Amino acid sequence: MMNYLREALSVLFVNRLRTLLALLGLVVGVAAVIAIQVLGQATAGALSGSLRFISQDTFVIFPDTQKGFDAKALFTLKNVAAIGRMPNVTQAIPYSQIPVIARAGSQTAKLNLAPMGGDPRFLAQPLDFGRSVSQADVDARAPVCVLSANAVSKLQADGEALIGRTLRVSSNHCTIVGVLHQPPTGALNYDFSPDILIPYSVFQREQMHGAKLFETEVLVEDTSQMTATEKKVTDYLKSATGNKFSYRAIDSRIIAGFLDKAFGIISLVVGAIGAISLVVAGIGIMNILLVSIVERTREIGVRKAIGARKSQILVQFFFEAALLAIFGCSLGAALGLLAGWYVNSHYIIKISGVIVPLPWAQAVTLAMVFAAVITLAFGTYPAYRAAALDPIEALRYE
Amino acid sequence: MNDSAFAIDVRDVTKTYTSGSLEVQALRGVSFTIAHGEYVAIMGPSGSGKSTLMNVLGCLDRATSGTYFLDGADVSGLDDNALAQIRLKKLGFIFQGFNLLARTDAVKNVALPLFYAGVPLKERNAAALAQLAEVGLSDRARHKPNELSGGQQQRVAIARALVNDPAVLLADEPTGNLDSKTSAEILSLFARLNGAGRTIIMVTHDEEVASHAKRVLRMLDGLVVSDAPPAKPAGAVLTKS
Repeated sequence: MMNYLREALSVLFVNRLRTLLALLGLVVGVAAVIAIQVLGQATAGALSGSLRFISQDTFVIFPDTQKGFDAKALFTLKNVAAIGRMPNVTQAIPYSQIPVIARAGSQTAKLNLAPMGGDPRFLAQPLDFGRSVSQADVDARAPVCVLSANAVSKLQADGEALIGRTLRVSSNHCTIVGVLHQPPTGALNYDFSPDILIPYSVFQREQMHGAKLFETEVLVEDTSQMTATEKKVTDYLKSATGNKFSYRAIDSRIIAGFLDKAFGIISLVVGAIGAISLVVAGIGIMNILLVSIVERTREIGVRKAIGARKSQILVQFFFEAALLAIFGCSLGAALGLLAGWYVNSHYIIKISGVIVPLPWAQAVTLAMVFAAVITLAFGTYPAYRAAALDPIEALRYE
Repeated sequence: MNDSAFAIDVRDVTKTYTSGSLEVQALRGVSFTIAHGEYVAIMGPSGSGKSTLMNVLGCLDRATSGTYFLDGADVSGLDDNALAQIRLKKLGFIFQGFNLLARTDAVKNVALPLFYAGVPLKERNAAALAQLAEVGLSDRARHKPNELSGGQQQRVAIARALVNDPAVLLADEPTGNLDSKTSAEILSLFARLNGAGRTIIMVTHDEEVASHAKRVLRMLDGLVVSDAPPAKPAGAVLTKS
């Protein structure tokens, strides 16, 4: 066994150029597959980071507009109050996002205004400074607001310095009581979160003027029962509007589900491309081995004339294929990890702020599986061809 | 070598090649014996069957009919693996084109048969070095074939043929690719080996080369037509042993 290994090694070393050429395709193929794995995971991490724009404890519900919008599907504050009294619902508030011009000091910015309930669980991000809107604020219709990090940067202000200052929103104003943490931007780089949060009682008075509602945000007590609660609220709104319309509920897990599905498809496509590139690399190896058998016909003839048995030639060529595959796959795995790490740490991290650990175990397993498959699939036939050569013909071969 | 009477004993050996509907009788009933320690040249024009005979004697090919005893053992009915084993243990091949492994140094080339015999690396190399010394190439042990002259390459090939201590040395036109001076060197090496008791069978079409053997088998149309000492003995310098 050791003898064969040493002989195969020496043959590969003696024919360096040929070995190198055979390795090239495999190295590139494996490196590409593993780099794509690393990058895929990094991108997935970056995207899941961008999901935190919606609070984990709430869901929003609105008429399903896929079949067109009908004003009759809108509901009233009475309906929202009824939802607020349903089991597992802590609070239900009318919800909407309104684009406004806001001014703090001399800076103005176009921002999104939205209502929130008197519970910090409505917040999608933790607070960096100050406090959340309280139930007392809601009850007293206090003109207070919480700003997002995006709002702070658009107003070109320092978050901490804004606390206690007055924000003018159109013709109204509010006192800034809290500033939220900057969410990880994520690869989607699209921010759905509102910039200015005010007590929903204030929002109702200043912005809604008795209009009907399109959306309600519901804070649930037990998030494990969220789906069931969504169903109950949906059913309630259906019956409240005469069973003519359907409603859709969206929560952070549903959005994550959409993205998961998208990722599944992306990884599948990438995996398929990787598999194809490896098959091509494998065929390349087989081709090089077959060419090398033609080139080495006389050598094989000599080996047989000297007394090598069929099985010995077979084992020897098989070992050469196996060594090629092992070298190529290890080198490819190392290069793939390196490339993935480099792109991840130098580029993706700048967009996402998410560090994804390198999938060492996965890369090693992948490389080993590829090596084994390629040896078996593409090394067996050339080895068999070599072993089956007739020594007389082989010796006569020019 | 054992105590059987003959190194080679072929009896009524025929070889028929079939290609399509065409049958070619390359050997049409060849019988002869070669004792241990003999030095025999096989001569004949091309197409006379000498290469076929050499392949059969070298256990690279099987006779269509007849029997072949090599070193006292019947090898006529053996399968491929058994024939490989016979080539490994009982035969040493020397080719016209040397047939050394390229880019592989002399020691490794000489040690190759021992690799297939499963001899451990250290013993292999020691035996190969000893054999290289035997053919006078100790100082070229680590040289690769392309760094050696034709004569030196053939001596490496001879060392390789001898390394497993074969019963018979088979040489196919061993001087065919060499100039006259190097040919003389190789032939004197053969003479020395034969003097030390080696059985040598050499195929050649050169009367001068054949004259160094002690016996010449002449072939024509698949038959041995004459079996006699060389017509004109070689020069005194070369046969001195």
